[in-house]
Amino acid sequence: MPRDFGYINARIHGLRSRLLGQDFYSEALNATDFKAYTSILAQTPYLPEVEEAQSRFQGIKIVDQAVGRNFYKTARSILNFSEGRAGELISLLLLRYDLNNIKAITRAKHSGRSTVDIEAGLLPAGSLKPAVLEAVASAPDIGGVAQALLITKTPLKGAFFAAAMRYSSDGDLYLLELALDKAYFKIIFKSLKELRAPKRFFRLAKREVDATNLTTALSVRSGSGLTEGLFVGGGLEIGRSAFETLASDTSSSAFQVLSGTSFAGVADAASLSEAETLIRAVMAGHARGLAADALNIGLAANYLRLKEAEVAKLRLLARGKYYGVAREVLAKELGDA
Amino acid sequence: MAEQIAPTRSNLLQRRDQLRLANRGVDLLKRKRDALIAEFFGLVKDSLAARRALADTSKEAYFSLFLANAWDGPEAVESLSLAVAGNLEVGIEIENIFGVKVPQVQPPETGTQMSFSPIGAGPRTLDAAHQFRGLTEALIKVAATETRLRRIGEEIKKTSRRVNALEQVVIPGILVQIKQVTSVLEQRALEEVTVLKRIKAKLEQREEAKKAEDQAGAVG
Repeated sequence: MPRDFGYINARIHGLRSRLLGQDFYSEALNATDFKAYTSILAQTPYLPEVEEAQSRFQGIKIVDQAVGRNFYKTARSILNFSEGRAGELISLLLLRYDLNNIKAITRAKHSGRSTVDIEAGLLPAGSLKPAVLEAVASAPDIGGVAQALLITKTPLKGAFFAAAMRYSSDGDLYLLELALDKAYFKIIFKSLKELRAPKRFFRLAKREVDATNLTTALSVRSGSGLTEGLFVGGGLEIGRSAFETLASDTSSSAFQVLSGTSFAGVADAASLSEAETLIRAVMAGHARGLAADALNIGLAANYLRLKEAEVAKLRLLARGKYYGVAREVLAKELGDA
Repeated sequence: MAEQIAPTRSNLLQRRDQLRLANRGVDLLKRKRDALIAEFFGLVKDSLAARRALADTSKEAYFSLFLANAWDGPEAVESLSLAVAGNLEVGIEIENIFGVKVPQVQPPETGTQMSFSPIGAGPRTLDAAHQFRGLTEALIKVAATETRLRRIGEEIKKTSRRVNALEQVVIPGILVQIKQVTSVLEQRALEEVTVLKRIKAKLEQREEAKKAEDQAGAVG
């Protein structure tokens, strides 16, 4: 019998209760060094992964591997206890990881890197399992990757195959990735429609497109200014003209296009990193708003966002303690943690 | 100790020519050394500035990588690094500074066109990539200025050694030789004068004796 959101969300509530609280971050910030920090981390639900990583790695890699492994296990566990429509919606939330993994493999094939190099660029938190990714990564070239993906269940396989065919004639990685990124968002919206996702979740997906467009525009703003084909349609607040303005106009007046949107605060950001923090905070706020619905996808979406943020904060603290970064600097970077 | 040479007039003339040449060489080498020292001090300023820029850029670049690895994740950073193929090509031209061949290193053409799609790419990773491009340029600048500095420094040392060798060894050696030859030649000239004076005296004596004999014959 397909499990409904009542059961899934109860499990997610359980997972959420295991997220690290303010006490942990205060204690971790006060840790004297990296060793003390790993000891504190080993007193949390990350204990099994920390112990396993300590037996195989040294230094920063202990925490990177432990939190990466924990995130992978969490994502896999959610996918395992979710079935039917709910499971498909949750798979969509994790499709980004499949996209990133496929991109990492494609980049490595394009630049002629070895399979060992690819391993470090993969985080198998999506529907493509590590064994499948290993098989795909061992393909000799991008054409081989497309062939290997065809026998998987990833919804990205069709788009990748078409893009890989084009790549075989022009050898342009940029265009291949662009086609894949566009296909990713198309698949998301198509699937949300087919799965009759709640309107609020649809809106969150549209805001996700806005956040992506805004980040892309700000990223290319100081670079070449080439914006052609970078705009992703389907957003809620940021249209093509706003995107073009932000991407090509480097003056501060360009940020006027954001006034009246959820992202208006980005205009005050001093750097790209600061802007990204603000965008992340806006998206976290929208996801939090959805979490109240106990019988829908919102709780899972919010939990995954919180878990990703937790993993990032743990990596940040690990690096801070390893390199002896001042407490104040770390506290500032951690934000409201 | 100066080499012993035959004390002849032609050797004396040759040594005097050599002395003139050595003095001219010292003068030229000193001028070259002064010019190189001026160039060296100009480069020291550039080199210190390049070192400072490298230290600042590397601090910023490594901190941005620190943040990229934390917020975007090491997998995302590794993934983007996979898109970059091949090595950076650095252009090198050889410049001639007062006869010293120094390399002029041109920063690599990195271009602004991305080889991957920026959609969904972590902004902190892109920022770190941008910072590391700057770090590469700073590193190349340091390598270029310090290579020039080392080459010019080596040349200053070499030129100073040459000046010292000429001033302390070659010129004093020639002067000793000139002195030796001159003194031998002067001695010889003195000897010749003495011999000639003696011959002259003998001839005069002989002439006087002959005159006395002739006068005695006439009386007898």
